[in-house]
This record gives sequence, C-alpha cells and structure tokens, in this order.
Amino acid sequence: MKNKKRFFNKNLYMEGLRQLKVIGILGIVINVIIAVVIPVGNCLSAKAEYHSYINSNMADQFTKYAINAVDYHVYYLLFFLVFAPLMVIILFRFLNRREDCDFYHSLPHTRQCLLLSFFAAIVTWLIVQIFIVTVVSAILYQIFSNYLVLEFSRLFCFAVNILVTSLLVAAALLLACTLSGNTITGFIVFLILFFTPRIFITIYQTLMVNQLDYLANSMNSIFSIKHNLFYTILRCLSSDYVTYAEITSINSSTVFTLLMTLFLFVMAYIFFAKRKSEAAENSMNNKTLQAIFRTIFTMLLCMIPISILFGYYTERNIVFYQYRYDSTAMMIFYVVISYIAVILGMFLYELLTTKNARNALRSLKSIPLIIGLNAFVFFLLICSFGHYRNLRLDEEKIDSINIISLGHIYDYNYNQASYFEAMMARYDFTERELISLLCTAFNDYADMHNDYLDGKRETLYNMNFSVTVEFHGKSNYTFYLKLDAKTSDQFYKLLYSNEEFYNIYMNLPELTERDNIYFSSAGENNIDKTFEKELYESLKTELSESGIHPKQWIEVIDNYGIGYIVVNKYIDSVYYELRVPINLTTPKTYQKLLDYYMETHSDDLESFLNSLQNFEEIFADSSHDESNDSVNLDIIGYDSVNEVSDSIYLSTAKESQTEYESEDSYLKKCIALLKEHTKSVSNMNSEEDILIYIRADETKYTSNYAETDLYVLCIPIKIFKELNTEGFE
Amino acid sequence: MIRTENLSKKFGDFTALKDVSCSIPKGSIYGMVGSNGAGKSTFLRLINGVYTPDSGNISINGESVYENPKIKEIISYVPDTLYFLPGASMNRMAKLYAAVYDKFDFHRFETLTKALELNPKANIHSFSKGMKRQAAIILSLSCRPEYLFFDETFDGLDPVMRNLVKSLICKDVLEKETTAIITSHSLRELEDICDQLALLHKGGLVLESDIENLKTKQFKVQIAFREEFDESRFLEIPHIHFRKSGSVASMIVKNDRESTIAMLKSMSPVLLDILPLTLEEVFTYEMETLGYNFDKVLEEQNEE
Repeated sequence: MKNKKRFFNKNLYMEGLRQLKVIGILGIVINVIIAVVIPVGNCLSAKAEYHSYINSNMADQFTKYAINAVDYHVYYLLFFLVFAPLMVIILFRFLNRREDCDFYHSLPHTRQCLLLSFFAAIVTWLIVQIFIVTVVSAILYQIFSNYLVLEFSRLFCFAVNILVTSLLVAAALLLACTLSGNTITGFIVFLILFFTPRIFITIYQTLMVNQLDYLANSMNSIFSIKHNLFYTILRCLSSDYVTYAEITSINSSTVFTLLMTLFLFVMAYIFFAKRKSEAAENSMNNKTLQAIFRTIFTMLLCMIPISILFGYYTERNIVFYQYRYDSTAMMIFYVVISYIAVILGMFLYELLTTKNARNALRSLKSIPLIIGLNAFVFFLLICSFGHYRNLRLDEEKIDSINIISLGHIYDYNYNQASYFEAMMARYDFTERELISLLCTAFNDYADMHNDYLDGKRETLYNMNFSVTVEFHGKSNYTFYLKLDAKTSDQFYKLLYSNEEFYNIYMNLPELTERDNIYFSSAGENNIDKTFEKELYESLKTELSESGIHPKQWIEVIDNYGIGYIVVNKYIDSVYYELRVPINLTTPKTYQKLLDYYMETHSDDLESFLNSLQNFEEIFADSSHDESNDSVNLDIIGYDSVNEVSDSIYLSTAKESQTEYESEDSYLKKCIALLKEHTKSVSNMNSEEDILIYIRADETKYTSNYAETDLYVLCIPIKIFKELNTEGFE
Repeated sequence: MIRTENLSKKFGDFTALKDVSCSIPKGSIYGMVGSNGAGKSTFLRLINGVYTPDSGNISINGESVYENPKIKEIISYVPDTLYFLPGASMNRMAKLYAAVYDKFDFHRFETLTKALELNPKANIHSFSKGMKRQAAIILSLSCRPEYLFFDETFDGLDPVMRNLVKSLICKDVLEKETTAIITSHSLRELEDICDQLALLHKGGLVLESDIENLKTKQFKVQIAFREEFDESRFLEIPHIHFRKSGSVASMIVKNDRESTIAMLKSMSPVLLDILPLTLEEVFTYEMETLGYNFDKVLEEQNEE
C-alpha cells in the first residue's frame, strides 16, 4: 500500500485509459478505414491491369505493384500530428485550470504517480492504435499478394518509428504543459522546445555554408536533421529522393529520437513533481522559467540581425563588396530595424503569455542580458567560422574516402536517385594517390576561399567539375569540392584504375521481382516486355565479359543511344534509377535491338513510302485547305555514336503549301530525299547510316479519323544532314 | 488530529496565511469563518496537500500531508469551486473516485444518490448549482474518509439539504470519529453543528475557541444610570464595544459573567440587562476590533 501510489498506480492508469477512450477509438476507426480503402483500391487497380495483360495474351509480363511502406501509409502521420498531441491535451488539460489542478493534486497519489500512470495510458493507446492499423494493413496486403507486393518487415519498422515519433511529440507537449499554466503559453513553449534547437542549428549551418560552400554536406554530426525521425518522416512527403531506408528500419535515427523522447520525458517528470498547483492559469511556473523562455524566443529573433552582422563581418574584405557603394549604412539600418523588431517581439511575447502590460514593460529590463547573449553568440559564430576557414586536411590522417556524388550538388540528407552513384557512395576508397589528390584539392579550394574572403582574388570559381567526398580518419569530414580540368582528369584516371569503381558501372545488378524495367526511346516505346529483360541481360553480359574499357562506357552512359533501358532497382526499401543506353559501345546489344526492329518493323519502308505518297498528293491538291486530309511527319535521327541528333518536322498544313509550290522548296527536296534514300533497318550500315524514328500522323477529313504510325528506318548520315537545314552537331 | 504550526503561505506579494497555528482534535467538527480573502480556502488546500506551505508545518495523525498518499487517502475534500470530468455523470465520477480512493463505498454512493433523488446517469453539467454540490458531497462521503474538508459547501443548498448533510456529517463524526472542517460565511449554519470555531482575518488566526466558550465568555450588557455617564465609568470591565443611545448604554463584555454582574450591580444602575450573543454578533464585534467595520462606509455612502 505504501508504494502503490508513489510511482505508478494501476487504477489511475485505467482511469487514464478511460478518459482517452473516445479519442483512442476514434483514432483506430479513422485509420482502419484508410488502411482498408488504400490496399483495396490498389488491388482493384492492379487487378484491372492484370486482366488487360491477360486480354493481350501477355499475362506472364505482368509485374505486381511494389508497395512502398511509406507512400501507402502516409496516414500514419496522423498519429504524431494529431492523436498523440490530442491525448496529451485531453489528459493533462487540468494543468491549465485552477480548480481542475487542485482536484488532481488533492488525490491520494504523488505527482510522479499521476504523471507516469497517465502517460502510460497515452503510450498504451498509441501502441494499440498503431498496432491494430498495421496488422489490418498487413493482412490485407497479404490477401492481395497476387497483385501487390509489400515488404512487411519494412512496414512494421515504419510503424515502430511512427510510434517513437509520436512519443517524442507527446513528451515535448507534456513538458510544455508542465512548465506553463495556460493554453497560449503552453503552445508557445511547445513550439520553442520542439523547433528552436533545429532552427538554431539550421541557421548556424546556413551561415557557415553560405560563406564556405565546401561545407555544404559537412553538417552531418549528431545534430544532423536526419537523426530526428520527426523531420525525416515529414520530409519524405515532399522529396523524391528520400531515405526510405531511414524510416523503414530500426537504426540510429530511431535510437536518437528515442533518447530525445526520454530526455524530454525526464524533464517533464522533474518539473511535474515540483509544479505547484497554484501555477495553473499563470503563464509559467515561476518567473525564472518565464524569463528563460522569453529569452530563448528573443534570441531566436535576434538571429536575424546577428546573421546580417555575421555576413557583413565575413564579407567585409571581398573585392566585389568593396566595389559596391558603401553598404555599411544600409547594414546598420537593417540591424537597427531588426533589433527594434526584436524588442517589440519580446514585449509582445510577454504580453501574450502573461496578459499583463506591466510585466511586458518590466521585461524590457532584460535588454542588457540580451545584448550580452548576442555578443556571445556572435563571438561563437566568428570562432566557428574561423575554425572552418582554417581547416585543412592532412592526407596522412585520412584512411579512406567515399565519393558521394559526381558532377552535381548533392544534399546528403536526401537519398541518391542514381543507382551508380548510390553504389559508389557505399564503397571505401583507400588508394593513397586518390586520397592525396582529393586532400590537396580540398586544401587548394579552401585556400582559394580564404583568398577570396581576404580580398586577394576577385572571384571564386573557375571550375567545371564538382564532387562530394567523405573523408574518414581520426575525424570524419564531408566536403563539396570543385575541381579544375586538370585535377578532374587526374581524378577520373585514378578512378578508372580502381577495379571496384568500374565494377559498379560494368557489373549491372541482377533483376529481382521487385524491380521495374522498361525501354524507352525517342520513338519506339512499346517493345515486348520479355525482350526488354533480354536486352538488359544482353547488356549486362556484354559489359561484364567483353572487355569494354570502363572509361569508354562511362563517357556515354548519360547519353540516350538509340534507346535506353531504365531499371527501378529496389534496394533496402528504396528505388534507385539505373539508366543504361543502347549504343555502339555495346555492339552485340545494339545489334540485338536492331534485329528486333528488323523483325517488328519489316514492313515499315513500304508503309512509309505510301505515307510519303499521300503527303505529296495532299500537297498537289490545289483546293487543299485546313479542313482537308493532312499528314505530319516527325523524324528523329541518331548518329552512329548515339548522340541525340536532331528532329525534322514536315507538315501538309496550309502554311507549308505556298512553299511547296516552288520547285526548290525545302519540303519538296525533303520528300524527294526521303523517297530515294530511306532504307529498312535490315539494310543499315552502322558506319554510314543513322537510325531514324518517324512518327506519321495522318488525318482523314471525311471520316475525321486520325492515325499515328511509327516507322523505324535508317538513312545515310549525309542525307540526314541535308534534310536538316541547320545541320547536326 | 490535525496540527498546524506557524503556517504561512504567499501568492506573489499577497500573504494569504500568516503564522497560523491550530490544533483540531480527532472526532470534532471544526468551523472556520472569516472575511472574504481571509485565507480559509488556502488553509484547507494546505492541510489537504494541494498547496505546499512557504513556512510552518502541517501534520495529520503525526505525518505531513504533502505528497503523502497514505494520509491523503483518508482525506476527502469538497472545494468551493467544484470539478467534474467533462460530460461525466455521477456514475462516471464514482468510477474516478473508486479508482483513486481504495475505500470508496459504492453502496453508500448508491444509497445517498437515491436518497437525494439525483440521476446518477445524467450529465452532471446539466445539474443546477445545488445539485452539483449535492453530487460532490455524495462522492466525498462515499470515500469513507477520516477527515472531511468542506469549503463553503452549504452555499447553494436548500435548508432541507443542509440539514440532511449536517446529519450525515454528524453521523460519521459520532460513529466513526471522523473529523470535519467546515468553512462558511453563515455563522448560523456553523453554530448548529460545530464544536469549535476559528476566526480568520487577513491571513491570521484571530480567534479560536469552542462554541460554548465563545457564547459564555462574551455577552451583551445594557445598562442605565440616573446620572450622566460615559464609557470611562466602565474602564475596569473588559469590553470590546460601547454604545450609548440616550441614557442607555450597551456594551459587549469579554469577561467572566458572574464577576462582571457583581461589579455592575455595585454601580447601582437603574437598568441592568445581561443578554447572550449570537455567533454573528460575536463575529461582528471581534472583526470590529480588528478594524473590519463597514458601518462607517455605509454612513458615508448615505451622506452622499
């Protein structure tokens, strides 16, 4: 009996469950309905597609819908955005009313017991809600597994992360309720507790990166945004390149978020135990806390003028800066205005939370403290900036590197879209020469920044290549570097000599059930599904066995070729895009595609010539106007090295008629050349000819019938150049 | 027993209680009266463990109350402003009470609810003020506490209900040695039921005595003499109020009755009447000595 009501009481816990019954059941009902509707909808859609495949006798080519645990369970966000906060507000609203507070504090339980028992009730309801909804979803996807594929382990891990995030929000809100005595203050305190650390960190990172762009991906310590599940889950809604793996697995983010939850809860526990009943209906528990939160809020506003001052301080010697008209006056103006806004903000905060104008006026006495804190923060920023500015890499202390991205800015907080870059990022390069090259490149780049900031050089950038590198050693760094032409050549040379590097590009992965594959080109996009896979396998074999030099392959990998294969490769719950062209670098696969075209487009030449005939006849008709039959020809050609060449558009539209009248008209010439020189693919000479995709749109006026035909043919390169009055590059 | 020693409590700059020391024996009914803002509710909240004192001690059965579930288990408190769960019925509130008080007696709850003709399934927030108060009292009594604290509980109750509640309290006190503390503005209500009475004024305990003692130790004297006289004639007699109207003077004497009568008789008055005081009169005159007198205010208002 003695300890039954000191820390946790079952009856009080049951009472908490009872008080949350309505919101608990409502949460289950709403989410279960959504959990049923989504898979049923997906199943119906997949089933309809499957039946269309059956009707086309292509049942074996049907690919099950791969269900992403996050995209199709977005409604889970309701748990931490709506239900967790509501539960805390419902159960702990007594803290905001005097008589309610007196009642609960008169009960024969300690304050700790009340807090723990009630919070346990909230945790229970959240677990029950999330568990029931997850089980319902999993059961349905299992029932529909003939059409839909879902990785259940990912779903359950996602559910756990949602629970952890919900607990984080609940703990933060509970702490805010404990510290405050009314709804407005509680809401403001929650916002301050929850978002202020991230805002300060983001401002700090932004200030550093703005001046030293090589730090762009450096801020990935424990304070990285990706460690907080709340932000990671929310960001996954807005970004195409998100770390699904982060939120669909139990990892460091889960642990970090859980630790933050624990910290907030322990704070709530301590303050709740000390909280006086008479604090209800006051803004904060005591004047000290009121002052602390007012100061935090004010410092948040102070980051505006501090940022202005920081920018001015760091850029004061930049040459361009000096050439501008005197900006000191403007800077002072902006700073003064900002600080006036800060003081007003502080005043309003106090007025809004205490509802007392006298208190608000008294709060102005803390201005000296604010000034001191501003000076301190500014000093810290300058020191930090100085540290990063002087940071240089000692190659002896670097053990390995990872190349995160090549050629473009990469935001580490997002997932790689490209399969190749993602695989490369996972590999640890240990070659000393490469490490030395990049360390030197970084040091040079940092020196360049220093010179620029000191006014010793006018501009920064004379680089045409960028790379993001993780350096691992006693300390770990991630830097975004820009390399000049010479260094980038050396860089690639070293990369190509690395077997693992070109293995990534030369050894294409095996296809699995979850992967999606499709062929695309500027013309033909409806090739047989089985043949798509055969084409991929051919390419895979040819790359790994034919001895093609990786440099040759990598140089053309971003080109379109006569078509390209795209594989959405599924790895660790993330889809990566693997895009590979079909071109003469892989001649066997190239020929395989041509053979396919020969087989499927064997009659194209005859049909095309008929279309040309039709084209001529329409033009010859002197009474032709817009309402008559019409033909449009869209011709796209590829040269032998598979650069996308050019497109030529011919039309029988009225505006072209006058031109066609002339014997020397462009249209007449084109028609004549096409008639004479177009060949079927079976007669193609890879050295002299190029493949052309011709899309012919024919409209019959009398029947209003429109028909689009695709012809895959070839033509000599020099003829194609003549067709294209602009020539081709 | 409830004991407080030098109990003080401040809210910001406002002193709600200052050095209040008292001793409330077990099995007694202790009445507490005082002016508005005297500190009655604060006192109850302190001994109930809702507030923590700024200084001083509180003990119930020899143990401190604050954050002591064992002691709070035997206390039941009906505040001046009542609390019920939103949308709750009496049955729902009974579940809440049963969850937190181990001795909650459902049988008593049902009996009392029936006796007072309240609907236990109806939303309490639809009750009238008096009915809500009845509901709170029922819930409180159903907890079978050893200590009952009622803060201005009789306000809002009709005379019949008041008597019923009084008898229930008295029954518990007699049968189970329950100790009750009742605060009220209505001295008439406390007079009927209380054993002891305390008077609070501006946070301080001004007067504490049992009812009988209060009534006998203070009495009203009406006296007249043939010759002219004024208050100076009665300097040897301890009195707290003197008023002369015509040739008759009345004063409130705080002294032993017999000796006072003997002294007055020795003055050979033509008129001497000894009248008992009601508690209201005791309260009024005591407050007057403390400067809590609205007569002057009323006079000034009338002049205006």
